Amino acid sequence: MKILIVDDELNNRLLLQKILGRFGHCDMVVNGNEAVEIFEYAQADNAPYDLICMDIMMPGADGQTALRKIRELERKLNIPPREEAVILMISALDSPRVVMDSFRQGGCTDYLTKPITREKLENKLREYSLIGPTAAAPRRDRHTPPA
Amino acid sequence: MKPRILIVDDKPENRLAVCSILDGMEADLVECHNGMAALERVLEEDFALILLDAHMPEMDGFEMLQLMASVERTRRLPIIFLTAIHKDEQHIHHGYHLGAVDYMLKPFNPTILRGKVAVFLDLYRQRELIRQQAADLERQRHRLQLFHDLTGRLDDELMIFDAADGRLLEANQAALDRLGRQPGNFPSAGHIRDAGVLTAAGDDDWETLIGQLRQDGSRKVERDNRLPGGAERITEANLQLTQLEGRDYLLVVVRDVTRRRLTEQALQTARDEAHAATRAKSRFLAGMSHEIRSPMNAVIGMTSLLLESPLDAEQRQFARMVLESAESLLDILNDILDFSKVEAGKLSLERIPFALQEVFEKAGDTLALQAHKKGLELILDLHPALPNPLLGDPVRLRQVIINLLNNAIKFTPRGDVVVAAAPLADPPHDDGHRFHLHCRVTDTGIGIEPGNLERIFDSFTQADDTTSRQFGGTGLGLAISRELVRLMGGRLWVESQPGAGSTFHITVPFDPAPPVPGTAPARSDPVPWVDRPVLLLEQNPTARRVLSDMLTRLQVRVTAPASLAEATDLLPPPGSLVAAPFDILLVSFPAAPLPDDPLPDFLGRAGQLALCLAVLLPANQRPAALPQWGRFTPRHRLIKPVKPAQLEWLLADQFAPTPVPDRIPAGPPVLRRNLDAKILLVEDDPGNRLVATRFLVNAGCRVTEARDGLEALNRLAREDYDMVLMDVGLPGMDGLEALRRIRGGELPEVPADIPLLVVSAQVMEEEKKRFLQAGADGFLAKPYLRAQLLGKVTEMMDLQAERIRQRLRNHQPVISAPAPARPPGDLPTSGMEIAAGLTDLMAHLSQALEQAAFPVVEELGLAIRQTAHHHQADFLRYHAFRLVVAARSRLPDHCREHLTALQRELQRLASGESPPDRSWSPPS
Repeated sequence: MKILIVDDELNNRLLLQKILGRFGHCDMVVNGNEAVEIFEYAQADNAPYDLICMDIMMPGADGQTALRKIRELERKLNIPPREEAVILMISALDSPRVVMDSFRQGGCTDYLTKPITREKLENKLREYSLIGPTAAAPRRDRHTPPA
Repeated sequence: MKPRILIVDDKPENRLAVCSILDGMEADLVECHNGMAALERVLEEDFALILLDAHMPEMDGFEMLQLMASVERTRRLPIIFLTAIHKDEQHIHHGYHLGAVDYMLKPFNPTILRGKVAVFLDLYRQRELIRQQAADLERQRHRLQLFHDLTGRLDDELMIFDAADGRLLEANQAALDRLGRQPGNFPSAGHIRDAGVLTAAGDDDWETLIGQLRQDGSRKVERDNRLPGGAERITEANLQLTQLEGRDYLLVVVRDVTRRRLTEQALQTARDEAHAATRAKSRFLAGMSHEIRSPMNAVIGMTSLLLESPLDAEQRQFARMVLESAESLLDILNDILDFSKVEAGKLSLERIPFALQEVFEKAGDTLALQAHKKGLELILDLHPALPNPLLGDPVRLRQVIINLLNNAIKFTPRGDVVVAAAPLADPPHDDGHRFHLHCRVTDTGIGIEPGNLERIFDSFTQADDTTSRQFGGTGLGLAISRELVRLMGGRLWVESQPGAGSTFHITVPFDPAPPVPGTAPARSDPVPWVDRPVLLLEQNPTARRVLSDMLTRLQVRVTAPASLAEATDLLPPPGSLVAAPFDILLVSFPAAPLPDDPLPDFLGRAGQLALCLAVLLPANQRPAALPQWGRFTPRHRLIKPVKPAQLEWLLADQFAPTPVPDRIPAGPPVLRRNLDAKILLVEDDPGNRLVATRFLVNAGCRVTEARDGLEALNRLAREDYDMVLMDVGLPGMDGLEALRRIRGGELPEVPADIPLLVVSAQVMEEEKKRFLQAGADGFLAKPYLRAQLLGKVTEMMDLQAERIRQRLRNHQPVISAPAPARPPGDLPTSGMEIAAGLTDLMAHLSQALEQAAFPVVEELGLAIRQTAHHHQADFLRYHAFRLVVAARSRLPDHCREHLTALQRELQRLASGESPPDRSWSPPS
């Protein structure tokens, strides 16, 4: 599984990397612009991300804008919905419903509110079948090229 | 008043004669028989005329005339002498001299007398009129003078202009003072143009102004007149036209509004500042929310990870304390944010359909662990007739209940906490169809002194300061809760007995939500466990009552002994061959077991009591930690607080009949452990969801859960599933609607023919038909058994396999178009120059990488990326950014790889070769 972590704070990036590292390779970028750029490189290299964890509030290009651009790119590249990246938006806001509504329109797969714990995050990964029920290893690797 | 005529004659017959002659004239006649009496009367009363007999005894007419002439009051009274005797000229002259105005000799001609009297009466009337007018004038002059004094003392300027030519006609002292004029010289006092009441621009056109005033009636003119000293002076002139006897006048009032304007400006400024402060506060709080939560995120997350690593006991304790502190800090932060929202009136409530029972059950589950850890029983006592669904804000309601529960648990050292929810006993009867909830949270805690019952709802206050030191907390929970309940239109109050405990009451009215189509109120068909004997062992009396009621409603026959001694009496005699008297033995393990808990001992002997043992466990007890009682191991473990759904599943598992053979396709499906299906489970009830998921996962299925129709559609659009298992009574978009949408092919991403199994508590035939007609592939009635469920799922899987085979036969391969490629843009600068410019950076980069100085690598990489971006050197930028990302992940091999690529790309740029053939387009 290929994972992209987008957060402006080093500690939060490291936390996510610690939790997610066992499931696959994690790249880390620090703002929305970088996220879009690296996402595009990954598409070009034919090694797209399976999972993107993105903070909503970041200085400069925020998560929402990046989310929209990434989904636009996927549409432009004719990527079928089942191969789209699972994008988890991470929010420090306390009104998840509002966040949820606005991000559904932006096309995120789901959202998580801080604080992030291993349990919370792994539950989400399980929910989207990115990992198996026992969380030991990635359940599937959607982008493994056919042998 | 009629004029009065005084007739003075000593002879009655004469008086009578005169009276009869004057009869009918507009006058009152007054008679006097001698001079003295007459004199008295004229001194006292008003008369228009006196008819005076000249010859009378004692005082004759002449003497009386003489006397009257000497008194001012009577001097001018007109008198007609009536005389028969003094007919000579001398007497007549004497009379005239003394003031008589006419003379009549007896016997007199009545017509002449009447004529003369008429003349005098007329004169009298005229005189009276003039006197009255004079008095009126005097009064008016008086009033005018008062008005003048009044206007003279006014600070406002009053002016009257002639509307025809704008001349100043009248002005009060204040106006005159400002204009520098003396009173009285108005004709030359000036023109309205010079009066300083019109604005400088435009209004000087006198005719236009008058024209406008005629139309609008009045007009206000504000102008800023600097005083000679330079002080600000703002005046407001009120101009009004009035008409008097065909002439137009312009009335002007000029008022000094400097103070008012300055006050208004100050108010406006203050208001702007207050708004700015509020905005700043909101921004600050939003910022704080983010700024505090972000680092807290790292603290909590890292500490959890730390706890997963090998630590010695002390380290583990430290880490756990850090975690707990961080979590409580976060709670406090949330409280403060909520409270500031309440304070700013920013807190708004949702109005969505929800199930009351779920709100209470979720709140109970949330706090069960906390209560049980403390050794407290937490009991949910929910009235069976809570209506469903209602309209309201379930999240905020749950927050209130959690707050009250938290509070109860915090202040209760031992005993129990009971959450009871029921319809309000005496709802207001004019409230139609609204449902009034009465919720009580009762504890056996320290209680509250009567004097503190209201204080505890104040923000930042607990009952007293020692309390807050002992128990902690912000003291905001109750204030927030009360405000939330108030916003819901309800009431929150507390009753308490110090030392015995408290009861917090909430009453809230709710509108019923429109019934969700496809849900029936209650299952009415007979259940297979009717009247089966169940023995309940629960030592807490409240919990015993609640559980007994729940079981009774589920139609089993409950025996609930109050003590173990009583229960022991129910044991069959040792060695007896009597069959077990109970089907199920339900044993509740107390949250705070007694030191010499007789329960295990009892259970050791109770094996013969029942066919099946089920235990109710506190949330903090791990099932694995349970002692084993020989063969008699618990078949079911329910976590407290117990909910009706848990008991129903238990009964269904124990008693539901063996499935009818023809409903199971082939072979016992329960043995098919490897039912490898990917299933979307759509079910709103968490308990049901858990059971179904457990059944399916144990059988080898992969299950994704969705809570309502909309979520199900979203999931379906995003991922492929083998089948959908859907409960039809869902909040929001219900199952039938979701089913129709799937089958209608409305959503391009959702396969319209995906196998769909409907689960419903409605087992009426027409209901079942309705779902099948809407396109369901199968129907399963709740409650179901594992075997029934797996049988149906197998059916669906066969169906899916068939459909896939069908689809494969019709399959047309679609080759997706490759991603559009775009060559890198023309380089504005030669590659050589770029490469040369980056030589130093590259050298530093290699060195930093050798020393594993990743932050430096990141910095330098970003710098190269920036340069590349500037020169549109897209491949250079690509490798630079790759290097940056690898450095952030601390991956030296990746870094080296990208550094090499970077060097190669620079060489290529320097040599001017064409770019490598890669198909990607750099971000715009």
